[in-house]
Amino acid sequence: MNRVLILSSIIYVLVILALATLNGVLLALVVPLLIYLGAGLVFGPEEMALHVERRISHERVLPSVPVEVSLVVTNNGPRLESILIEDQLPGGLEVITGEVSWLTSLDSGESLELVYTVAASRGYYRFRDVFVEAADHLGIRQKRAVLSAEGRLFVQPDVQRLGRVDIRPRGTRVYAGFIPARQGGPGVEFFGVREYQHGDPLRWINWRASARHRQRVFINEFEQERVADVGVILDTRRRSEVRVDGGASLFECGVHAAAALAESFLKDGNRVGLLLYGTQLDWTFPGYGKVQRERILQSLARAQPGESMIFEKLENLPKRLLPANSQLVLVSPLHSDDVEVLIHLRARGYALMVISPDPVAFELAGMDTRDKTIALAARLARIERTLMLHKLRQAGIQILDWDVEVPLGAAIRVALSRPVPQVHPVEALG
Amino acid sequence: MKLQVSLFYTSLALCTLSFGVAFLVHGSLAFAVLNFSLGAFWAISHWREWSWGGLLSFGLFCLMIAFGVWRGVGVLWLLVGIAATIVAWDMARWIAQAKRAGRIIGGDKLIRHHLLRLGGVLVIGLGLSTLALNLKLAFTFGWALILGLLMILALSRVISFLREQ
Repeated sequence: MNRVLILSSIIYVLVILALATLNGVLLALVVPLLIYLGAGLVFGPEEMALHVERRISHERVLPSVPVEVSLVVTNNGPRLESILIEDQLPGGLEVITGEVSWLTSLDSGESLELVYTVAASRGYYRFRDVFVEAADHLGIRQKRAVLSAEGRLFVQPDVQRLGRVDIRPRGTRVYAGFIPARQGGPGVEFFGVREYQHGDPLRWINWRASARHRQRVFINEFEQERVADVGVILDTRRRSEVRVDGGASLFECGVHAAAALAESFLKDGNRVGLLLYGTQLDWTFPGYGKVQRERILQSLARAQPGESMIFEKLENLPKRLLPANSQLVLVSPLHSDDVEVLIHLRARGYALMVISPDPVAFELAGMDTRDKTIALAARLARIERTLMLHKLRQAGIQILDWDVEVPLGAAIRVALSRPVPQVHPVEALG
Repeated sequence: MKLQVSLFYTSLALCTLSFGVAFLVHGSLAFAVLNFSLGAFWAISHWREWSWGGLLSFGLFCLMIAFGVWRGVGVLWLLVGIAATIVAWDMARWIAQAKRAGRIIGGDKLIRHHLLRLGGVLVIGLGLSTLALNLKLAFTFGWALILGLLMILALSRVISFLREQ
């Protein structure tokens, strides 16, 4: 509360009483209070001209890595006898060393560097304001201000290194890569036999086939391997988040899976895009290489589960954003509503892989399974999920029913090591 | 910080005692008990970090002066009491601010300047007050009128100051 107002009110009441009762003693006794107030008004800060600059040691870090934040406060105005500086920390940051509020005095033209270290879990943290409160030594007259000192920190998900994830989209791009392109040419895997043409390497000649025909020579053809477009879709709908008592989050597992998959596809030279589908559409346009990796990781750092009426169901997935005949990788615990949409996507010609962190196993890990009710509920949920996944598998969708206790790389090796089914869009089948 | 805490409790004890003894000597037991209760309440408020409690206690201790003068208790007790109340309120604020600030840079210098300022204010305040008490002026209607006008002027200044804030 404003101390000037409090003191003034008290003094005013006492003086009015003294005047009303014509009592000089009371008036004399008010003098120490008056002098106290007067000292505050005389020595209080007239103006405040402060400049604050923020420096952050790293803009992108991994979870729990310490980051040094320093604030350089410069006083461009008159001397400030007492100044309280409070940095307004974004929620979720943990201060490891140092303090975020300081009490000091600042002479005219003096600069002060205030340093502290923070660490955080995955997320995007935006530093904005610094609160300052200047006062005289007695703290009677105060001046407050909120100074802008912007800064940002991306705490990116820890990227697990996966081996090569086998995908087989219908369409590939022109550059050489690791994805079978269903076209003959230079490659590793045998693709077929065709008649020799001028310029073909002699070592490709298929002598057995050539021996069966007179005057005709045949050569082996290999399947070309190229890069492809891969769209990684992370389900950020509220329903994709399951938290258990220990604070573990299923959504976090999904984020880590999306990061690991994007990294793996990018490493193989593919063009990768990322779509966060939930509160809103956060689309990272497809691209190649390390820059794209950074873009994707920054986008994943910001990912938070949320709710939206529009994106409650997968049916509003913007198909125009996803290149035709490309590979889609959906990371989602899945819901029964999603089945129809995924089958429809598959029918449109997309090769679809679903990495589905298992919410039943995740939630059950923190429960007492000896309880009959819980065991029955778990069994019903398990049956429902198995049926849903079976339906998707029947539609030719690659499914990884991922128990998050198992490392993603191992789970992918086991579940997705079988040959990828061929994609036939509905039109082609007809 | 320890110095401030000691000063707070010492000054709180002093103001409670001086007001309390003043009322006790005068024979106003009820006011003395009220005064001791107020002191205890302020101490508890400070311990529990109720800022409103400290504010309320300070206001009521200041009003104790008016009661003391009205009851005709010893002026010296009241003078010591008001000085101690000011010190207690000031120390309470300093302690609260120091707690709010995680770190105090140049703490010794800040504390020294603060105590010097407070000491100076108290010396001047008590000196002027003593001088005023010994000044024999007929408190006529004219003086009251002048002071009343000064009060109105001061009030208008305070209002304009608060608007600026």
